Amino acid sequence: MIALLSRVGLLAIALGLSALLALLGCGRKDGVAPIRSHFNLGVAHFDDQQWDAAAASYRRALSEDPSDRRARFNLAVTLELAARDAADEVEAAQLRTQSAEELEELLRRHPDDLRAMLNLAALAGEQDGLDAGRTKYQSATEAHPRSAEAFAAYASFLLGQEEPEDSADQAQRALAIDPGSFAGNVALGDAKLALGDLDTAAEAYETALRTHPDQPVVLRTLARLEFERGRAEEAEVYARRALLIDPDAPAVHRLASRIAEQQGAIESAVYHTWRARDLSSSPEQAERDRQTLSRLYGRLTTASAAE
Amino acid sequence: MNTYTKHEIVTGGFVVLAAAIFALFAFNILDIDLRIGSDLEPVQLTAEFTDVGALTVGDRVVFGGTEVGKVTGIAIKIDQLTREQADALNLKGSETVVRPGDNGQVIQVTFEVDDPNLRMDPATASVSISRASLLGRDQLALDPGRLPADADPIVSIGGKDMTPLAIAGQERLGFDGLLARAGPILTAAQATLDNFNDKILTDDNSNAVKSILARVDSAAEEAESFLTSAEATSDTVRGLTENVQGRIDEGWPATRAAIESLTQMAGTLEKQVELIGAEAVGLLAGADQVVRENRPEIAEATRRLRRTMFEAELLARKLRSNPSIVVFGDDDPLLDAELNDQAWLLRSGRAQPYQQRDENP
Repeated sequence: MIALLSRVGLLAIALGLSALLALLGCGRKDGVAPIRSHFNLGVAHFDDQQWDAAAASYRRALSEDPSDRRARFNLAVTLELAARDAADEVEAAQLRTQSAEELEELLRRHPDDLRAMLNLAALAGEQDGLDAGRTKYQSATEAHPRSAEAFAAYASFLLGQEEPEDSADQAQRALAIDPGSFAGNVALGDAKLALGDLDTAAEAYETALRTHPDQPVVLRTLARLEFERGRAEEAEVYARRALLIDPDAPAVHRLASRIAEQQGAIESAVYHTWRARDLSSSPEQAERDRQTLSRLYGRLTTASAAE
Repeated sequence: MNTYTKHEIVTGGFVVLAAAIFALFAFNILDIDLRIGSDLEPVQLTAEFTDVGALTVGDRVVFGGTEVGKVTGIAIKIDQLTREQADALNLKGSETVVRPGDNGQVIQVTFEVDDPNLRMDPATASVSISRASLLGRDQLALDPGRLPADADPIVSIGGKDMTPLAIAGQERLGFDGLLARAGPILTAAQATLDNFNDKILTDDNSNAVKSILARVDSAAEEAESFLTSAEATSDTVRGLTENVQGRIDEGWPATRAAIESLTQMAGTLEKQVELIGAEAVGLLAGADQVVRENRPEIAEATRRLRRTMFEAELLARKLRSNPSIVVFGDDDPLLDAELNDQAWLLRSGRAQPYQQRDENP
């Protein structure tokens, strides 16, 4: 009887441990597969840049729950990205209008939604000018005075409107709230780069990389920055890291080619230009790559003849 | 005498039936023909190749996409070797590498054709090794030759005991073969162009000009050979396309699209080869005249020839790195990753979208 009880006890302990592990696994962000829902399907389509399919999934999620702010916001972002790829300007304008309508609906349901406020401000700034954008971003930062993301987004907007000094100020405010803010550091780096303060820019980008070491955009910018500062070896390291993460980025291949050519590694430069040419979607850019390639082959031939 | 119940008889019947099914299945697996009284014997044929690739015994023999027989044997044929050749093949203590085709050493493929409706003239017939699809097995593609329309089909005169008829085997030219031929041409052309630039454009040196022009002529011959090979490959691709297209069912739209793409690519390849050929021939023909007349035109001719060879080299490299572009093309705009969408969102002052399982909206 005692043996039976001990076995049952062991079984109960094992089951309890299994349940605990399962619960811990569910709590981990990357621990288990995502639940199959319309929203998650939309995110998957979004990651694949399938804008139509993503928008359809988000709309299904909203038909089940119209107050789902995540689905509505993602739908608005998806429509804006679809507008970037639209065949003509008329279709793009329609998609942007739909995006703005979704964001306004989101704000009607959730008046304090920061993401919706920021994206509406960006849309307003692009369509109605700098002052309209400023007003909306200031409303967002006043509503969320402790949000580094809000100030960082404002800074990025100002830089896009060619106001680098104001942009740097707003980025500093973002970093005063959260010194490790990725968006804040990137915004400060961008603003300082535009102002010609390369050292501060590099420092800001490196801080951003510490929290997000796999961001190809920052790696590419740092590679360009180091290259322009005449530090080809450091630039090469950043370019290589960027290509490891995104091997199909033609802009990084072009930069890597320039770096390699400056270092005298002509064959490597030829390889990167060749890849950039194959990956380029614009015929004009591809033609420029061909000319670069032709020039590099000339250098390669001269070098071989000299040997 | 034993008596059996109805239940036992039915059970026994099922056992016998199952055994018969297994036996049929086994015969099918072993490819044993159970037909009795067939009055047609397949024709035994042989063909010789220097390289049979992945062809194996049992692979199909096809004519116009239809199976007409199968491969029955593959063996290295060594009886053509003389004593000296056999001695030469003794590699003990030697570093000589004997490649297929060296010293008359070939691969003999034996196959049989059993379609009674096939007309064939062994004197003009030939076979080549092809592939049914990109992922399919190798097969022998039969060209039955030129047979008069009123002649009798000869497929019934064979038999397993008769000496196989030998027909011609056509070697296939893969991309590697094409590139192997292109490489020396490009090297020769590059060397020629270097001399062209360095020597002609400096002093009036007629002897050097003659020497260089001789080398250009030599390169032209090689280029012509290369172009012929490229055209042959293009023909092969087109032949494969037509072969497969004949068998495409309307219900396979994806396959049809791939085949149409292949056809288009074959056409593009052909045009490119023609353009390169026309450019090269035109340049080489005009070189002598141009050298005498004026130097700027020489420089332009050099630039254009260099450009042509450069394009040919790039085409070859692209084909070598990714032969599937022949089928699918190579202008995939989705590969472009300039300023990705996440970066655009970040730098335009927008918020990032929510991710899966993001629990804090």
